[in-house]
Amino acid sequence: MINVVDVSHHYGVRPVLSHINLRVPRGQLLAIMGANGAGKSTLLGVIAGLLAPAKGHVEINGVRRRSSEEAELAIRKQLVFLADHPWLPEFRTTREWLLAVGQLYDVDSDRLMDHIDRLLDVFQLADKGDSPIRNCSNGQKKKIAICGALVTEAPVMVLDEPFTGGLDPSAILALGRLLKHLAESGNFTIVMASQIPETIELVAHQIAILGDARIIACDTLEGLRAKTGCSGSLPEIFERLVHPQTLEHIENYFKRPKV
Amino acid sequence: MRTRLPFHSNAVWPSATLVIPFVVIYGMLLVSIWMIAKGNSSAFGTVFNATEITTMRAVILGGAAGVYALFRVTRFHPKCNPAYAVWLKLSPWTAGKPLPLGPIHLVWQDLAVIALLSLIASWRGHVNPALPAMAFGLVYLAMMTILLPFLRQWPASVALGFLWPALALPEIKIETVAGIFVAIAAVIWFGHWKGLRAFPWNAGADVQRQNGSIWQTEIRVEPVAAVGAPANVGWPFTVLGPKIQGHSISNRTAFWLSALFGWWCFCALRFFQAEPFPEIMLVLAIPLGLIRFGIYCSGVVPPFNVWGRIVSGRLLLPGYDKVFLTPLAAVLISIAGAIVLRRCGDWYPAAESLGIALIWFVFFSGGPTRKNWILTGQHRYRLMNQSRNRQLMRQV
Repeated sequence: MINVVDVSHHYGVRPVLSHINLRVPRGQLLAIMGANGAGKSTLLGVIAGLLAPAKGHVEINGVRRRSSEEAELAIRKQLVFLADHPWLPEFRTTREWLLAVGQLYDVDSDRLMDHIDRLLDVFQLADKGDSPIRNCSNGQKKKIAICGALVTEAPVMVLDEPFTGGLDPSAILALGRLLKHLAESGNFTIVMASQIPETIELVAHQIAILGDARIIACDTLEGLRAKTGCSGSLPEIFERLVHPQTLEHIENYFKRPKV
Repeated sequence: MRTRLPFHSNAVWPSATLVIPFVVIYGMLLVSIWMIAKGNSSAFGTVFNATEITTMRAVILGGAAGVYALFRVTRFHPKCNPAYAVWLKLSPWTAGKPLPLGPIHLVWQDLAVIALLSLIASWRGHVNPALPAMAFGLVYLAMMTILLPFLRQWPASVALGFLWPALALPEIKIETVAGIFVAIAAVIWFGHWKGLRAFPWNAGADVQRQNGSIWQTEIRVEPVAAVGAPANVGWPFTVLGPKIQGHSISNRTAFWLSALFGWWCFCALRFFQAEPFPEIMLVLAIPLGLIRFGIYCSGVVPPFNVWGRIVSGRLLLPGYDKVFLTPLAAVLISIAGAIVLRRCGDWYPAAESLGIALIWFVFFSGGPTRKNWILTGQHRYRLMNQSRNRQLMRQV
């Protein structure tokens, strides 16, 4: 379970997060949407332990982040973070790197090797398993990074933009189904930031919408529809919540110029 | 039929690769002298005893003894020969048995070699016959001392760290020097005896635990087979993985290391009869503080910038600013120490050494520990320049 308690943060003067409270129970997948620069990556960074918030705190499975060495190590064993732009060792093969990541999380060797084979099959990387990562395309590298997060078997996953970075449609679909299955198995808690509404509609149990450093809404898709009175798709709900004047701005744009 | 192996210490005779260069070099010197003397035996004696020739002979003979000592340690110690150590590990050899390739302790063959060199030195006089023995002894003891930390024999290493510099103390009596050398030899013997008993050494962490290591590997990482270390696993695993590379220093280690550095300082001050320079503590504390700060803050930045601190009214961030405490304390101690040192007169070397030991102790043991800082500090991880990494990281 992930519990974000009254988190506020600012890098300089402008608040990036303001009094954020979130609760993601085990077996749930929460998708975070928001305008560009709304603070999605910062919020994920706070949850993942990449940065300490200016105020508030995060609890993972009831243990407070950075409260003690033991607590933090315990959390690190249970949590994996997929960064928006991960860095991979170019001269290692995919399999070598995935083995190293699995070993970092103390995954049993036999299970790890089997898991790697299955993941490579899911993401059509079987032929790239034994070639250096530098030989892979950007999309394939993104797939490898996703495999790296999944191979850890960490029960808490924090994924920043997992569907972007050149993934092909079948990989997006495969990843979506995989995440949904993992969450519904009841053993995983997943938080992800994404801007792809179709996939979010498919996989997310709850959707949190960030705007102006705050959570504007956090509910199921049906709950968001009820809250906004919009029976349309997720982009329409998002537009109504975050940018309600978009249509007006477009109309203004196409009006004949005064001068 | 069972073949009887020769007595193992026969192997310590210097090899042809050592003997031939020595014979050639020394022979060339003699031939040169003979040619200068134009075959005249009385002229030969005059040239042979010239200061320059005597110096050259001393260098060649002392060098030969030193090289032989180097050969004795590097050729026969398993720590210097990884392939030999691997072979030993697979063999039924145990610490109680003689080393198969030859002993690392001194044997009668060593005495014979040194005696021969001394004989050559004493031929027609002018080169001290004790020179080869002194060169051999010094190089042998120094090499054996250098090996001890690699064998993780920390108590013996620290003891030698105290004993060797003591030889530099002025006005030391010859009996004391002899006593120190005896102590050095005893500590080396004991250290290597323990080191060989701890064989095989490859299980680094296990050996450390068995030997009660000085360096506590509190957050040591098991070898990550394929990639090598978490530092090479890529962002963000490097900083957020459950295993972190790094060492923390226990208070006991901090105490002994600080005492050692203080002692070295004391010996150096006495040896050079240096003029009082109380500010040396500050000169030491500031770079050390910067180095410590650099180590702690490599890859992390404050959670928000100075403007953020001013605007939010949180000028002090205890969770982050604790990293400044130890360097600040060391600088303050050095300032106070400099003031005290100006008033301590003849006690200056002792007081200065004590101050320097104290500064080192503060740096080694002052909080937060690196592990604590990495795991609980209120900082923000920053993506470092991964291209410097030998794995050549690339952004996806």
